[in-house]
Amino acid sequence: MASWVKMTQTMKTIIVGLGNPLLGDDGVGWKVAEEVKKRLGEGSPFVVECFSLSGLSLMEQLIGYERVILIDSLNTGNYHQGEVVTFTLDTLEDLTYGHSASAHDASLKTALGVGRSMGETLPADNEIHVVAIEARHVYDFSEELSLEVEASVPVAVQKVLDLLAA
Amino acid sequence: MTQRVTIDPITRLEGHGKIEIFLDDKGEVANSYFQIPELRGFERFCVGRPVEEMALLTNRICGVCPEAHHMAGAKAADAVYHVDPPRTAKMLRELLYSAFYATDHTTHFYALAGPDFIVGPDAPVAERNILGVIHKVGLEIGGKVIQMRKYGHTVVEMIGGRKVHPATSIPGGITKILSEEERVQIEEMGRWAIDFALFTIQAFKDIVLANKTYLDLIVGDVYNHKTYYMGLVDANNKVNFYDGKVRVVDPEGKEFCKYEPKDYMQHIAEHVEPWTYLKFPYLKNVGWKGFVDGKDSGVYMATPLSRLNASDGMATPKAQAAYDEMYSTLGGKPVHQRLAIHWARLVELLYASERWVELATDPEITSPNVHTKPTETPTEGVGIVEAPRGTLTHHYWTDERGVVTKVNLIVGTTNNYAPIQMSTNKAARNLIHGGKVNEGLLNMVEMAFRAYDPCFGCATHSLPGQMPLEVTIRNKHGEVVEVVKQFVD
Repeated sequence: MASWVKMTQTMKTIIVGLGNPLLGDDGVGWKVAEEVKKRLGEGSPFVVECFSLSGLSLMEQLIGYERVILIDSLNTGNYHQGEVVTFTLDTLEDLTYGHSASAHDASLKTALGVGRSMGETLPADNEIHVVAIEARHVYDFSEELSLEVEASVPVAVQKVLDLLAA
Repeated sequence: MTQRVTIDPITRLEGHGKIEIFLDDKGEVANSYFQIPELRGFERFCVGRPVEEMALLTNRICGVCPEAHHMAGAKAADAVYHVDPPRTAKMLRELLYSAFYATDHTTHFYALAGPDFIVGPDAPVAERNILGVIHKVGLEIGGKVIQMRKYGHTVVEMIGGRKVHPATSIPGGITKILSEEERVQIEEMGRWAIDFALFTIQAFKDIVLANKTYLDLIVGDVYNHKTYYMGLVDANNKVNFYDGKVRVVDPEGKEFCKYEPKDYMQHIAEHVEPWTYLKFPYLKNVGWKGFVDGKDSGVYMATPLSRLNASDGMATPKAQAAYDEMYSTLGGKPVHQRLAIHWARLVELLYASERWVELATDPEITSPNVHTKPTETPTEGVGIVEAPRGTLTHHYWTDERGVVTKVNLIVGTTNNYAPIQMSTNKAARNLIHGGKVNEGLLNMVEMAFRAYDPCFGCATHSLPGQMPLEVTIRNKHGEVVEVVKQFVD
């Protein structure tokens, strides 16, 4: 029996691939999520989705879940290209930090604050896990990943599966 | 030797744009540059694809207004195939688009304008976000904002076939018929949206216009530019978001030109500056005279306020009343004060909501006649819609099989690149003196471009999508004397 079966009895979980699949390495979140979906197979209790969303729109997709795994590219310059980093949202100190892609939106942390203050059921920040892959080529239209980022896909997939089994 | 102040990246703005402000020896603003990174290679990316894919592909350019790209792409593909969709198909597209508009304008007002005008431009940065707005005005309003967004998303999904990124528009029409059950729900949600829009306009009057400081900011000279204004209009010269001709009025409000979308290249040219990759569109028949106001300068603006300035009014009664009230309060047409864009956006919110109900109650909206089969050889076509943040143009060329050979896009915000540049520069010159640069002043500078609702990234971006505002102040030798970071949302 897969180890996630026990987990699912207590926690409603969604796995979300984020990014723009047309912008080169920015699409890595989608690729990892699609691979995770394949590995989980049919009948998995986990919901796997891919979105090009952030802030309020992303928060709205997380309503009703107790645990979230976000998979996204990371563009900090602080890590090697293709390096996989994991953290939970509560480790981001600033309320306004996190994923926001829009001029007229809020960061995910702020958006979650909005949702919670409206009484929506949303996972706690420490149940929002982020699996991020450092990537540089996120401004060029392409459906291909760079070699380093492509090579990181199995690593990121395993991190997600490990989180599900933890 | 100049000092250099860099705001990098801009707060609450997609992508990694930055403002560089150069100070002279006396600490006065010598000049400022608003720079935006360009996403590269989209034209090349599209070449070789079937044109019917473009409405799906282009709505992936942007995580903010995919519906606008979907509509412009669909209209351009109609034009490529020389096919005119049935009335019901056009109405369904416009119905989806109206619900999207109402949602988008709502989000802008409460998440972007609200922090400036409800929480206040001088409030601590940590409070200048939508959460701060809700704390100030109450949970009830927050609940309405979320409800409005839910309704908008629901309509997009019902007509567009899926969440966020609609997929049902094809050359010649649409693939999904609206059921009577769906129509009833959409009508109910639209009626709620009208009440919400009226409520929001009242809130704007009570909170913003009743506050003398804010009113002075709106009508003052700091955020004032006299330029040309552009917007789509219907046959009666009333504002329309989905269809019509492009009308341009001069700084005195007189019609300068009105043209079919296919003729845009006769009217719009693009200026290149060495310090940015992005081009500056301007009115070809006036000419580029630099970043200057006036009738002799080809700079134009394409925003909610521009659409109102370029029209003779709104096509729905409540929005028309709101339109009249705005212009009578601000001294008649055209209004040049950039911060009035926020007010114009709310007039449009009301129009979008009324139009939503108008279309949802049209007897033909549930007709099964939603597609005209293209029969002509595809060639070339232009589709123009009004994106919430400016006139959006898609132009495709194809071979005889309908395979794309060339693409040209002028996205909403690009129209406003020159006026944003001018507004930012003017605000900086008015507000920064003697080398004194503090958080409040920088926010006031940023308010100059936030009014335009700029969106340059046209994509959801990598973590961390929201970067800290970083201001680097350099002495006249170019050495960094101070770095101020603030995390603003």
